[in-house]
Amino acid sequence: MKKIAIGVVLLLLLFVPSARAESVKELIEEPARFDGKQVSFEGEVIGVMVRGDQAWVNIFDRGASIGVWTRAEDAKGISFVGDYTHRGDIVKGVGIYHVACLEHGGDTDIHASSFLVSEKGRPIERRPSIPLVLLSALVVLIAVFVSFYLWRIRKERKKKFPWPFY
Amino acid sequence: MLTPLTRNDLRIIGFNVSKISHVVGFVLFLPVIVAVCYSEFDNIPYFLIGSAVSFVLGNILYHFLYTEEEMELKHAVVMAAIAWIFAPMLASIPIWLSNTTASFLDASFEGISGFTGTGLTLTLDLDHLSRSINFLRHFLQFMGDGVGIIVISLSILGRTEMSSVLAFKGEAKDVGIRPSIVRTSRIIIGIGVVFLIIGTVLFTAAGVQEGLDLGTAFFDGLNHSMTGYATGGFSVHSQNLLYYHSIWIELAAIITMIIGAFNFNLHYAVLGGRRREILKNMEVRILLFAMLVSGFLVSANLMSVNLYPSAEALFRKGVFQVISAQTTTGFQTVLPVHLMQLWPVFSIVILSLAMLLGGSANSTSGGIKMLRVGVLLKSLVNEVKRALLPRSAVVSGSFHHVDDVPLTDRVIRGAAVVAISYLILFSFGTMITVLHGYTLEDSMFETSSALGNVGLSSGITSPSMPALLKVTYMFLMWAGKLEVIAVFVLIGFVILGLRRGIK
Amino acid sequence: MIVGLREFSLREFLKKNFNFITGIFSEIGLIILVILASFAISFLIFIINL
Repeated sequence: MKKIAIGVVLLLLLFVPSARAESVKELIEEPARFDGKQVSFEGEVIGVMVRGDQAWVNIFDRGASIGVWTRAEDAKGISFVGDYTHRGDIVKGVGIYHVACLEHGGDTDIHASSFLVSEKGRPIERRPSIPLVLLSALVVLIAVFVSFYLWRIRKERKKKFPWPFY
Repeated sequence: MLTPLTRNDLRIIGFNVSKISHVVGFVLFLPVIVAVCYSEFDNIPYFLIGSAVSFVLGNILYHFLYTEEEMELKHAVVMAAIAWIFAPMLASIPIWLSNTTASFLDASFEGISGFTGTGLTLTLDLDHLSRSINFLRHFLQFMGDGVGIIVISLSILGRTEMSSVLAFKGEAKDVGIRPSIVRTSRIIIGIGVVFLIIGTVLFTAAGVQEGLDLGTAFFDGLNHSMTGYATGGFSVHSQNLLYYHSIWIELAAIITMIIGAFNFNLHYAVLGGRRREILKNMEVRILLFAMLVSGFLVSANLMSVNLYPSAEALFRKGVFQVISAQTTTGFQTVLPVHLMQLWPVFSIVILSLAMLLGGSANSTSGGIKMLRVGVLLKSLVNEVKRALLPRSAVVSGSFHHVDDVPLTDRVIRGAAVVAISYLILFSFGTMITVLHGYTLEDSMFETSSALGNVGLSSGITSPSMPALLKVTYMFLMWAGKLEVIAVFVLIGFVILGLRRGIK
Repeated sequence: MIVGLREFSLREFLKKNFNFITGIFSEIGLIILVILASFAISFLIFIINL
């Protein structure tokens, strides 16, 4: 009986909706509402800077970014930093949001109390667009041709008329 | 008696624009090297197309408008005005092709912001931008504002003395360093390269110290050194310098910003041995004095509203933004939306004033320029003296700018006319912005940022900004770069052509 | 004799570019002074308001 009860409770827990992370945009745009409060965050890693036994992890979330101050071990667990050719790890956690953190000279940041990598990143393949490659080849050819042609004309003119007349 | 425009006038102007086109062709080609280094091969077509178009236009203009005739002042001024629209348009080609911005208008905005060394940005996702395109943005600022495209075209494709002198003046730089303009241009480039190297070293060292790997520290460092010296303000990341959360990066930035805000003549004098000049120069004195006073006022104001209640925060937020504004750079360590929502009005006004007044003349800074401010303040003092002294007394004065310069009526008039022109455009820009629903202080702030080629933003500048406002700021950035007078000359030129016809 | 190959001496280099190098240092030195002054101002304001 006890086992069934525990089983049911555990099953129910699966269906409890997890708190929706406040988007970084919301945090930044409503400083008064969130300053100093505990917030949950989630975003793509776009930068990691390890400083001693702590680290800055800059995250990007739907158009806004912010720096998360967390333990160095957490940061070291990140495999991919997002940039042009990589999608960064998705990290999420909970922490205190500061509009002007005094520990960090007035920076806007989140001091994470929990931090985990929820989704690993991956390399992004950027393939050249064939029409664009062809267009660029065409334009370069035109440029070379036009320049050469005009240069030839000037050379011919110089031969006919020793001094510039045009 | 204003002589009518001739076809020849247009020819002379067009021929000289061709040289600008060639230089831009080179500028747009260089990022290909960066693209290869970082294996961003899909970006190469963007630069090839932009570069090729520039070269083709340049060659066509050169061929059909070839002339041996010298430029006169009117040609040089109009040529400069055209160049500062023409070059950004060419640069917007790769920016638009790469989908860095939402539209071609936005790409043009970015191009003008780059070339004029402003730094207001409309990029969609700066943190995921390719390195080569990002390099282009920063390089545009270094070439356009740090060195100056006209300077480059003069020194490389140099022409005869007179037309070079005038084009030089058109770009709002004064003849002063050395008798030969071509030689002067080369010196300006040399100074730029020297400080670029120093800035890169400082930023890279700071980056490595703060946890970046050497490659990233160098790439970011080189780019920030370019835009710091050019007092441009573009940054590699969307949070601008706040991304680094580092006082060392900010200090490196401050050093490059202030160096960029110093006069070229000053650099030349000091690096040539006349170290005293650095303390005697009027502009340096006023610039540093203005910075310290504004820094004090802004810090006191921020403290009074308890926004950054620590010495470190007051310095890294208050003073830093003041220095960024005064040097007309635009590096930002406070998020734009927080400037708008949290900063008290008084500080926003002080920053707007600092941006409008600007840095040194003959430097990479924008704004009315300290030289003119100093001249006007001194003449104000003289006027007061005149009122108090007997009529027969003679009041004259001078100021020290490399040499001792007498304060003549002509000098004062020149300064006053430019200052008034700036104020006219400032009022115009502020009113247009206010009409779009923004508060007065934010409108003043963003307007002076665009007009002074600064780049600090309170959040008004964004891809969702109304198109009319985008166009207005593009106009302000362009006009500010030309110190406004050249814009009025261009308008006069056009009206003259329309009235009298072109012979 | 190989044309153009000279002995490089740090001393000679520094002597020749003395003005240039001291110029750079004086500019950066002045800026650092300004930084210290503005930090002092921030510090003062903070202290006064406590």
